Amino acid sequence: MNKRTDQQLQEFLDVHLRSHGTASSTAPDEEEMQAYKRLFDGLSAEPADMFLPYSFAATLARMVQRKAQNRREIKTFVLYGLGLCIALLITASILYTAPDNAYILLEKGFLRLAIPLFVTLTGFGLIQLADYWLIKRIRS
Amino acid sequence: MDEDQALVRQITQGNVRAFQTLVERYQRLVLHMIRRIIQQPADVEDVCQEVFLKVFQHLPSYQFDAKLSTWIATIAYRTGINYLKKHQQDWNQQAIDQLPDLDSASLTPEELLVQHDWRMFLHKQIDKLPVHYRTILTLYHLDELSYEEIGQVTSLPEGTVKNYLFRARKLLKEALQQHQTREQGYE
Repeated sequence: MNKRTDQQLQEFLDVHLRSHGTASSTAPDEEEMQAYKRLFDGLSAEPADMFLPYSFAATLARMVQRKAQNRREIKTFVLYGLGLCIALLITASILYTAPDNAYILLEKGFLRLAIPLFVTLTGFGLIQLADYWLIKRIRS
Repeated sequence: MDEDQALVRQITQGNVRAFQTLVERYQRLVLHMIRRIIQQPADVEDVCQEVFLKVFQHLPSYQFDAKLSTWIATIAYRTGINYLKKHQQDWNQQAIDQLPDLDSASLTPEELLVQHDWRMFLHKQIDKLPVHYRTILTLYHLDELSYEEIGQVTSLPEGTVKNYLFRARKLLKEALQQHQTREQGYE
């Protein structure tokens, strides 16, 4: 009987591998075939140094969650800033169209209230910021 | 709707638990490919992470025109190749037709130690093959993808995939035979 070529041997084992999940059992006992059988068995086995940490999937899920949360926060801040700018623009345009002394009245009122208003708003802002950092620290 | 489609839909709706399930389902496939392509154990985890972050990012544009496993494997393959391009200057200099001498006579002490375990020896030999050969061998034997699917992942024609697979296995078989002969000589 003629010796089979490498291609024929590989094809034979391929058919067996895909239909039975193993390259072994019924392969003819030729030296070349035995070498290929051994090779196919070795190729189907996972190397010992191939592994990922047990918590890999959970870590990735947390990472994705954190990224989504950061995106949401940025979106909120941008919307808040835009809202503030629009409100200032509307106020300025109302004042612009109001009778002549509206600006002067506003300036006087502002000068009287400027410092207490600034202190109060800064205080509220700092409380909000501290609250936000505290919640973030507790969560992490 | 099959299981993968339902999973993808849940992820695109913002379900992080579903994403974790997807990672658990396909992490072995990605690990096999990345480990074989980049060969730097220290970077494998980071690159696998990068692959899944890309999967998450591009999932809304996935149209189910290929199997989810094939689509993920394609992303893993491209990420791995990009890593090689970035970190190894000579990544593509190894011409496909000039295969490395797999079973060289001049072995390092570490390689001599590896010689005693034929499976370890085999995996060391696989690591010496060109990147396309390594990838195709892994996708076919470890992940059991078809020639057509491997072609989709690597963007190589089916005939080329078959040819590379045949040549890689022939080369490895010869290396194993030489290894066996040498081992018998020692005994």
